[in-house]
Amino acid sequence: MKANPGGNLDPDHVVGRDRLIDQIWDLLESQSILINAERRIGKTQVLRKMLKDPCDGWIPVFRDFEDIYSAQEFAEHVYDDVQEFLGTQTRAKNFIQRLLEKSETDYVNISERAWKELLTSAIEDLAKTKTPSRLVFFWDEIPYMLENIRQANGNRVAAQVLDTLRSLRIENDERFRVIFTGSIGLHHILSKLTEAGIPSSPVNDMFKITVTPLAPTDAHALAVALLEGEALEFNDLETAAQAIAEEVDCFPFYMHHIVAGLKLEERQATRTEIQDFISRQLVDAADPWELAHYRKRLPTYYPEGNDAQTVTAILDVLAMTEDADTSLAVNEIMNNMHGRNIDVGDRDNLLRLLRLMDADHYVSRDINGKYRFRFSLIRRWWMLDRGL
Amino acid sequence: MSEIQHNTTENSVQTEALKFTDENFIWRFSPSQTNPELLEAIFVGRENLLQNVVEKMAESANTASKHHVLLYGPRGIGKTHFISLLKHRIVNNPNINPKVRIAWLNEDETTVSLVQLLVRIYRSLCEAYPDDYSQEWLNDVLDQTPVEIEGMLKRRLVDRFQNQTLIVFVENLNLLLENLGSNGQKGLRSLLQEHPFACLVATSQQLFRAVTDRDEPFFGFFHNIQLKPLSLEDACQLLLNIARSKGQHDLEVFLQSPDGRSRVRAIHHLAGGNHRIYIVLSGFITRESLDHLVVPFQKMADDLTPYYQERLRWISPQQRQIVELLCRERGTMTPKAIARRLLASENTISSQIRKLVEIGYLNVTRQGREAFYELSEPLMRLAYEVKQQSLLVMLIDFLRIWYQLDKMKSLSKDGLSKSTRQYIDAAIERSQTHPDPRIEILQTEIEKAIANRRRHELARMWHEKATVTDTELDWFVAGYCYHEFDKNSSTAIVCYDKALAIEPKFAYAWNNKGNSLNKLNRYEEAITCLDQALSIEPKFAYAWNNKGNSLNSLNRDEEASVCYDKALAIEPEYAYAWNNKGGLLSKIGRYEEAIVCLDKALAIDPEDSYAWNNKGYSLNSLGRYEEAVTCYDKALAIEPTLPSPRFNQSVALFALSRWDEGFESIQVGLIVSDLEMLGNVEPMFAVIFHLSGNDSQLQARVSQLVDIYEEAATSDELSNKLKEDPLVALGEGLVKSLGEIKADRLSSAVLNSYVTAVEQRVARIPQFEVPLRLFRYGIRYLISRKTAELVELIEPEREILRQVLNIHFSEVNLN
Repeated sequence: MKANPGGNLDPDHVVGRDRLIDQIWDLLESQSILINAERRIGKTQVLRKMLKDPCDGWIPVFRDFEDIYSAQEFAEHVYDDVQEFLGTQTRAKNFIQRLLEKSETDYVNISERAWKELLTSAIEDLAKTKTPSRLVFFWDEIPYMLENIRQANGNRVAAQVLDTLRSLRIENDERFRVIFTGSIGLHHILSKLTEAGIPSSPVNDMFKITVTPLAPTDAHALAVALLEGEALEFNDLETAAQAIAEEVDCFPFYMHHIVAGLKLEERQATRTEIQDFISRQLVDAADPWELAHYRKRLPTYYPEGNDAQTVTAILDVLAMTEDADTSLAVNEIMNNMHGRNIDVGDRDNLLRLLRLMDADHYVSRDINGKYRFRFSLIRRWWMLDRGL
Repeated sequence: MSEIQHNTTENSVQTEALKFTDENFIWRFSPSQTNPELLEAIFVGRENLLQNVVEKMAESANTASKHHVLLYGPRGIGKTHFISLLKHRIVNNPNINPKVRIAWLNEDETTVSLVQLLVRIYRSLCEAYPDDYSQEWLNDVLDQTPVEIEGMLKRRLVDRFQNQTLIVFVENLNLLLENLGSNGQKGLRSLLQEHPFACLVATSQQLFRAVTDRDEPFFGFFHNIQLKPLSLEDACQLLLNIARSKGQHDLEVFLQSPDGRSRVRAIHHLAGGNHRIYIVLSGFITRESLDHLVVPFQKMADDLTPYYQERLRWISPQQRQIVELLCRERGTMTPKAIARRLLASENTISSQIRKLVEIGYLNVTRQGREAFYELSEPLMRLAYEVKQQSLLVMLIDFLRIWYQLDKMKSLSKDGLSKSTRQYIDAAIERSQTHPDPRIEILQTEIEKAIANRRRHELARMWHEKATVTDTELDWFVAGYCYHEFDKNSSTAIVCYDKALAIEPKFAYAWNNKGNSLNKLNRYEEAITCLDQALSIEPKFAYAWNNKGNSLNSLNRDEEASVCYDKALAIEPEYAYAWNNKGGLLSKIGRYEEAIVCLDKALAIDPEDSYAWNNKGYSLNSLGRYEEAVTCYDKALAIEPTLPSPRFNQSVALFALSRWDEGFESIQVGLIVSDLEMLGNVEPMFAVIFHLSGNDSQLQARVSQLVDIYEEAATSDELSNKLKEDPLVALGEGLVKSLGEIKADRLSSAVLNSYVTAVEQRVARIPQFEVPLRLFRYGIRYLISRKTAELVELIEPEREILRQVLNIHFSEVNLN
């Protein structure tokens, strides 16, 4: 297997996701799923692997909704996919056309009505047809699409799309499932809707799964496959594979990068070379792994008041623990912040921010409720970037 | 070439088209038009990378994995050359070609929507594969609405590429993505995510937001590969490959010689590793012109001028004014100075400068709060520089000498000549019984040539003989003759390789090959050969000596010393090894021990002029000037035309205040000098600076030294004989003398008096414009020890001072 940072992987080359995939198929028996993951962790590759080898009784349809800008476009795509599944030749545009011709009201209302009726009609068609297999939609980049719709059609339409989908899921529970995924957390969109005075819980019927980096043994297997595929020189395969996996927290995207980088630079895969390569990526002014994003996005993710500054300070505190494995209790974080004269507000405010940071993959909470950086690689970068 | 023909890039291309009469033409601005076989033949430095990308394409063709590659690097770095070869390799690879279809998108076409991009891809497929992709179908589709066209093309492509992979070559990806806009980008990414049937192989001048920002659809999508500038080695190899492809054998040989490499090094210093520069240069160089360097450089400059002028047309008028000003100025400039000259506000200028830095036109060096700007590509100066007073031409003239190898201080000897005699005799003896009648004729000719001392004919004759007999001995002797008489080490190596192919255990051939490689400065390879010789014959004193020379040249001094010792342990009376060990010890400042070794060499061979010269140098360095002068006298008594001791002696004579004799020694040195020797000038300057008691003495002596070199430069007899311009060599020595000035012990007034003395004599000499400026700034640095003194110089000039003063700059490059 060649290192392929960023490209499309052959599903047969996706390593270490079999258990997760089995779990997803099992869960789909009972409910739809919301997959949450940091960008580039490999969630789309998981869906693609499921697409190639679906479980018996399921017919998956994959859609990337990044380039969908309106509720109507979305509904058309869904309608098309359903019709294709049902084998009919009816095209969405004809339906819309008919609807437009019949209507006497203004365009906005027609559109609004159109997308809802189209979406409902698609799912009703699906419900009416008694096929032995069930349809499962893999909908990638749903948060991006909702943000696009929010901006094009307004908060109300974005919320309606989510609510309509929820109703359809509940009403037609036996006929189809969906998997939502996205590069940014859906909670960011939901909080914007809440801020706009449209509170709702449109995904509380869905099971939430977080895609984590690979398990150490799987990461090791991936590293071995990459080292052999690229025919890199090494003294000891096991040591080299272990180093590649460990140094980037078993993050497959960065593992591909390391192997591709060593290959390009014609270096041996020794632990020293691997560490040196990673160190150079972390301090490179060009920021080739775009890790600065973890800092730059803070004002966007945490726009309220001083939240972005407070989150920065929390991350500073967590970065300065003895090592990457040391976690801090909420009180310890609080005291540390006070010791530095940083106003974090009351305890509830700190808890609120920590929960958001957990959802955004900055931190993770151990079984004792203590917090630390979720990825030691990001902690290492944060320390370098902030000069800690 | 007239200005009219060259005033746009388009015209340059037309000119190229006119010249395109055979398959050996290398297109400078459109490498994709060059015959791929020729591109293969001249390809350098990126073979592993190309192979790596080919393997990615192979995996994309044969599995569901799809690799997307973005190759980035500045204009002229060789991106199109690279992807043209990639395409060629794909098309010729039976494991890839049947499973892929290639769409090469014309870089000049603007595309503002996904549907337009899809049409371009499909049209490209129609042109490349007319049997598979129908233009008629496309024409019919184009009657529909854009939304329908997009849908139909998507379905068509997805359908057609069920069992094949589409490889799309996109040049200037940044422009394509920028024009596509957010919606187009998202649409393209969605298509490739939903239906992974295509690989994108793209190029751009730099990484850009659409691929580096996490919020952008194409973040992390490509494997970004930087095409790095050519190293000096790569540049030499590229020129060598082109010379080979054009059958310029003498140029090929020259490029492999130390002098040839030093010429390329001079260009590399100024032009960096820009691929296109060397391709253009290759059109103007011959063996002689590269040696001279300035003329082909001027021709290259002339050829590139319209290209740089064209690039300036792409930027705004105010940005162009800034670049024009920097082209004309001799040094770096601050925004304040630029604003003043352009009669604009500093804020406006600062903002335009920032943009110019972002798009790669300018570099910045910061010193405290001040920022000094200069052109990021020194050759861009060509666009607006006044040709008659070209700083670039002056710099290249200076750099040519600057990188010339230092041959003056000590002289080393290789273990070759004596050892080879027995093989020549054996080869002659064997030829007497050879059945081919041609051999007898050739052998007679060879013996006549030897008898008549026509040594320059021997290499060709013995080569001819070796071609007939094909024996290891004849190949070996042919190699020896090329090395020893023709000074053609490259061909010598070819002959030694033939001998070694016949007899791999031929230790002398390994030894001689190592020696020839040493002559070409290919020391690492030489060591490999010499180790081969020593593995066959561990007690081979000559090979130990030669290995010592290789290591010595690599400044691996301790290992070199061990090798000389081994040679001497095997053969205690080996004078060359004593001389070489003496030279090594002298180089590392162990002069007393050096003298012991050189005395041993001289005890064995009192007529060894090299050893006398080297002993003189060691004594001189110990301040034993009288004895040094005696040694140089002895060297000159044995070999009066040896220039090295003449120039070295002048320094000792100056030190003894025998100024007139010292100047005379330099004068004679210049007269007896061979084609290359112009003296080791920096110690002459250094001694004059240090030992002149007052300003008038200092000025008089500097004047006298310049007089001698100026006279040599204007003498018809000498200027015909000398390879270099003596005044350029003197200027280079002046700059190098900065490294020998003991500034810590001197007041600023004394240091400034050096500048005054030099200025008053050379200010009007054009060859001194660059050296004088460098000397002036170098002295400023020596007074203050602050790099701030140097930021007004342009980068190639700073690099020269960096080398001679062994200093580092804390530069911040906003690129």
